[in-house]
Amino acid sequence: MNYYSRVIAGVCFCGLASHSAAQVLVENAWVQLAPPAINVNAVYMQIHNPQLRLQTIVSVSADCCAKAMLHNTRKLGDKVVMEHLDYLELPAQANVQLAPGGMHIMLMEPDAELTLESKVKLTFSYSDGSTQEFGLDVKNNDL
Amino acid sequence: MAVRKNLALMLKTMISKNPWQVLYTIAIAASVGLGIVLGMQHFSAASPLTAAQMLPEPKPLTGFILENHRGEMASENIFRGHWSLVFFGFTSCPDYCPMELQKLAKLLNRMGAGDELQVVFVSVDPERDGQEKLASYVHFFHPQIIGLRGSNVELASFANFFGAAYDRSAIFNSKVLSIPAGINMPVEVGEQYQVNHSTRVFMVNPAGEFVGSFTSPYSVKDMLFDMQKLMGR
Repeated sequence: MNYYSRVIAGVCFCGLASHSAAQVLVENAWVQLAPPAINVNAVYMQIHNPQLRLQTIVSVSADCCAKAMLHNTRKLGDKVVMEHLDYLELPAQANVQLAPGGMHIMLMEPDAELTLESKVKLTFSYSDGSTQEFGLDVKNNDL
Repeated sequence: MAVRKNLALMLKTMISKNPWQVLYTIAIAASVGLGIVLGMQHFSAASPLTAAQMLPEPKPLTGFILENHRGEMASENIFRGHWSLVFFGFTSCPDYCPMELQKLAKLLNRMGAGDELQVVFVSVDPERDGQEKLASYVHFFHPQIIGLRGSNVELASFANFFGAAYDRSAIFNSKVLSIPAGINMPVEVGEQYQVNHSTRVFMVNPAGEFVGSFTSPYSVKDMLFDMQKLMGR
């Protein structure tokens, strides 16, 4: 797959622009609208790694917020706990789901409250030093 | 058409020859039909609940004082006269609590129950969840959801009554700090900490008694079925 076809595939998958070579493709990506005065938002998406090698996301950042973290919601007995993930491995030619009640990206301390009109630029940083950007909409989806 | 004509002819002949036999046949068929219907109703009433786990004995709620999202005092009286579903969480929860509150809001909409069912969201994070924040939070999901908050001691006692486990944890001075239920969050920790809380939804009957719970994951459909059954609808 050449550069242009990869970019087109990326746009088809997520309807979003990417400024760097598309290392991964994302689809159904959105920032979940938070209730008023709540300064945390979750980001969900399906990530597809089309490469023949494993790729590892070592950090995430968002232009809207002071902090962005990879998290996993996990049930521990009768309790639900949220774990911080230091990295996220994307196996070769496989999908990884960031979904409600499971892995997600947590956005914290937004510069301004995120509304349904907000646009968020999310950046993945990979273990090989490369980065990839995605533009996301804020939605109030059924979780 | 021909079959119908033949049946009509047969019935006419039977009635003219032996009307009592026809009447007996109809009476027996009606009795059997009625028996089947009543049997099905009885079986349906005794059939098990889909997702709810009931306590062997109801447990009366007493002796707690919390505050609702309007800033009013809330005691066991808020549970009297209607069914309640109680969920423990915190408003800075980005993933799990919104997911569960969306489900409970859907349940309220599908029940169309008016005052017969209420959903109660109990924040176990009083330092960050002030009354106004709690009010806008619960209202975002459904105007009928009631928010409760209180001191750490009162909250721990209330949660303990239901067996709803929770604790809070933070990274402080490069160490994991675990704050059990009932203990105030140290001011020096700031606002960045986790709340690990129960996933269960607890049921309180109109007499103000804790009667059972739903364990996650449960579907709105199953919960609706069980609540309608328990509420005799």
